[in-house]
Amino acid sequence: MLAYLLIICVAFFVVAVMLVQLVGEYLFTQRVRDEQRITQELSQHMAENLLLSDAEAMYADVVSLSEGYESRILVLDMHGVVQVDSQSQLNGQRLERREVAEILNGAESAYGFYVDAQSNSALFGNNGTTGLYTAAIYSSAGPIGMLAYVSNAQEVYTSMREIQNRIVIWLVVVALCVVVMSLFISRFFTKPIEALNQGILRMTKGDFSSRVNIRGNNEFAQVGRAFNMMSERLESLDRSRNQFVSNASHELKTPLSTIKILIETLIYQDPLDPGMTKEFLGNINSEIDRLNGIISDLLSLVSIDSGEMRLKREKFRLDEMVRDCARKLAPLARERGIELEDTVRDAVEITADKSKLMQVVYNVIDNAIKYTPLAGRVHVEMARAGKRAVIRISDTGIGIPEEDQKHIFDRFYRVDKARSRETGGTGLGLSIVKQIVMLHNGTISVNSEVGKGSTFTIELPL
Amino acid sequence: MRGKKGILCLMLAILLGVSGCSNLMLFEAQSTRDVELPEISGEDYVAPWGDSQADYLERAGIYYINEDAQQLARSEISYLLTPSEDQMVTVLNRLLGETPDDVAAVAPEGTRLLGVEAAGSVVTVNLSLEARGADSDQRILWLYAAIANTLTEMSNITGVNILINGRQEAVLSLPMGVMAQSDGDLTALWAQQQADAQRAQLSETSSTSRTALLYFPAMEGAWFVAEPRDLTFVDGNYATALLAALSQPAREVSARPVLNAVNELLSTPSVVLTEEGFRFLQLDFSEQIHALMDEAGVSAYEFVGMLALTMTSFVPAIDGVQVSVEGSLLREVSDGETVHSFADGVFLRSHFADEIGSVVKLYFRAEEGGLIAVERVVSPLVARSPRLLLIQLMQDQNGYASAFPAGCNGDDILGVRIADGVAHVNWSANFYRLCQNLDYAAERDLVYAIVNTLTELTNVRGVQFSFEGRLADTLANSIYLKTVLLRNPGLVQDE
Repeated sequence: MLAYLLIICVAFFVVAVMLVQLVGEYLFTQRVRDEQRITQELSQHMAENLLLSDAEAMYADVVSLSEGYESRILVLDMHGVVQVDSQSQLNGQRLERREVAEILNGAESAYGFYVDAQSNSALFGNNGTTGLYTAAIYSSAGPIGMLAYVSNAQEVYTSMREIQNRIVIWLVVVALCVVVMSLFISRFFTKPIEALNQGILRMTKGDFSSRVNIRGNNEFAQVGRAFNMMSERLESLDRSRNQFVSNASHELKTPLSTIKILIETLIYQDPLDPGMTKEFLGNINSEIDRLNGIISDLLSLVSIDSGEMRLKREKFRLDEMVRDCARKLAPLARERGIELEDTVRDAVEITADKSKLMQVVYNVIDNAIKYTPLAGRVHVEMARAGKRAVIRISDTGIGIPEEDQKHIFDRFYRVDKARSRETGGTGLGLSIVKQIVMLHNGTISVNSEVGKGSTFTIELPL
Repeated sequence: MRGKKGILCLMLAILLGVSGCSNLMLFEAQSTRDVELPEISGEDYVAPWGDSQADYLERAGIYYINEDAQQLARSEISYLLTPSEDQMVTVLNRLLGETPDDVAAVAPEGTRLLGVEAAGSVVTVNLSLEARGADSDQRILWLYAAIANTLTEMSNITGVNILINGRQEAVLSLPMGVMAQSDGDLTALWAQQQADAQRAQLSETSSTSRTALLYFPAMEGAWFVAEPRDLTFVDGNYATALLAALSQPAREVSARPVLNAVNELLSTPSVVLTEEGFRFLQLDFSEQIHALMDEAGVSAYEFVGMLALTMTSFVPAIDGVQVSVEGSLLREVSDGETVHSFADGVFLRSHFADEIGSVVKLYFRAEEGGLIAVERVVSPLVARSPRLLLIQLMQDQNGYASAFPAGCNGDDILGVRIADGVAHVNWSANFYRLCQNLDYAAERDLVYAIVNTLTELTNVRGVQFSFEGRLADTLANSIYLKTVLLRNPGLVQDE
């Protein structure tokens, strides 16, 4: 910022100096023209009296005129000798100046300027910068003398210096104002940016809890709010990830631990009877299956998350697929003493990934059966609602507490962990269900009441 | 990036330095070294040896009577003036001489000019007796007006007093006194004169204002100097009023204090007519008049002289004065050295006319530098002679220091010639040598004392210096002398 301020100040100063120079040159040129004109007029005025050699009349004239013009006026003859001087100091002296020589050499007029120390002479006095103008005095026969007009040009410089000084003062004042305003404005603009920058830096270090406080309704405030939303989402995802990793680690570790215990028992215990051994091996096998299931589900989720999962869309009868799933789970339901019904109201043809949707319907019905006690009922219903197919699976199971309902689609989330283990769940099923439904641009929702049952509603676009 | 910023800052700093350090320059200053001007050789110059004046052409305006006799008509003339001729005399002779066809003559035929007295800025013109042959007082007034306008056009002349054969001729019984320049309206002049005359006739206590010429003994020398003065005359008592005016000191000329003669009059002045037809003004004073004369330092000669000149200049139709003391007529008067005898105790103007001095301005050196103009009364001869004027300058006079270095005298003036308005003065080598030690102020004051004095002459406008017949650059390295120098009025200090 300092560099920009320096640029502004320097540019202003350069412009000011050039402006003063230009204005000064203009004023000076105007003044020179005016004074040349005055000299010419005075030379004409003096002609008659010079021709008559009337020194009294010329002296009275030059005294009066010099007072009026605030300058010094001299009349010289054609030898360059001062004959009349408004200050009566140089009479009889030869004015050996270039401007006089030019007139003697035939010029009509001439002028020149003398500065400061140079001009300290009997002709110029101590007037600083002085201009000497000469003009020939003519009679009908030709030049008879010349008029010299000595003008104090110092006032032009004095005026210019005053202007220059004022400009410098204004420059300083404006520069200070610019500095102060810049500080305020930059603070106004950079503070939110700095806050965002700090938030981002904290975020890069892993602190997703950082939020920025930018007030107002401008763009910076909007960016700040967006940043805060992003931070919140990232924090949530980070928490979920951590939880996911923690849960996944736990889920993976649990069967491994069980397998290890069982194997160590087999290895280090005294030989067990074959029945026990077979039981242990059966448990190990089950745990391995469980591990496989978890890993398979994890891989599915990873595939979905990374966008690698591709739907193999095909046209099929959704109603038939739902019936098929119900039919496959009927034995399980019978085994648990649960009544499984399916009601398909409309024949619906859909273009979708048949196997994935089958997995969805299968999992939800399976969950309903698992979480419905003996003599309960699971009802599968499918109908068309406009341009959507609605699959509704309701049960008379244990229900889901309200506070858990919004988390049941989260990964590894279990309402009752103990029960889930018993039923062999990985905690990933509903996550995968939801992801598949979302890939099909559909929605899944749950409506449940503890002790009365749950209803899962899947809507798919046709 | 840092490198680019550094370069930018460096460039800005250089620009700032150049802009800030640059002075405001609006022009190219001239060199103070003197420039050589063309030299004047002066080899062709012919210096004067001895005194001479060239004839020169002059121009003047002469006033005649217009054909309708209501206005004065101006006629411009050019005339060649020889050194021996007086300009005023020449012009007046032209006026009185042949008249152009389109105008009327101003004076009766045969009128001649008897004399011209210049007393400072007032001139007394004495016409011959033929001038009285005018048809009427009106024509006499026209004559006076024409002469007054003609002479007052000349430089330094402000008033004209006109006598006919040495007498003031009245117009409508009123003296004209000193006349100034008029606008030439003769009708208005005549009407004014008539009104004055009528007023004077109607009332015994009427007053008339006129300008009278009073004559006083000059401060130095045996000269009379004249001073015009505005006076008011009551009941036609001109002589008494003039005597009273003479009791007041001169204000414009350097004159000796005068005596209060009017209080010593024993009787009212009267005019006596002689058998020959002369008219004399009789003035009878008390014995005290002698004491007053002694007290004033005025000789009897000077006293009667100023009375004769003053009275005959104004009191109408008198040829002279007779002065008596206690009834005893003065026939012999002393000037302090010589006793002058006057037949019949009559003092005529002509007895003293030659002793009317001319006032000249001489320039002496002022104490604080510069010049001071001193009016001196000198003889008319001196007043017209450049050489004699220069000799006057060489001497300290009455407390005024001469600008000339010591040792100069009239022999240092080798020649003076006046030609074409320039007084050429040829100085001696002695004079040049005496001036070599003069500083700038002294050289300047000397040169311009000479120039200013000589340019007081009506036919001189500038002065050229030469030394032993040759031009010199300067006298003492200051004043350039190879050119004609004009007057320097600014060098003159107020007294």
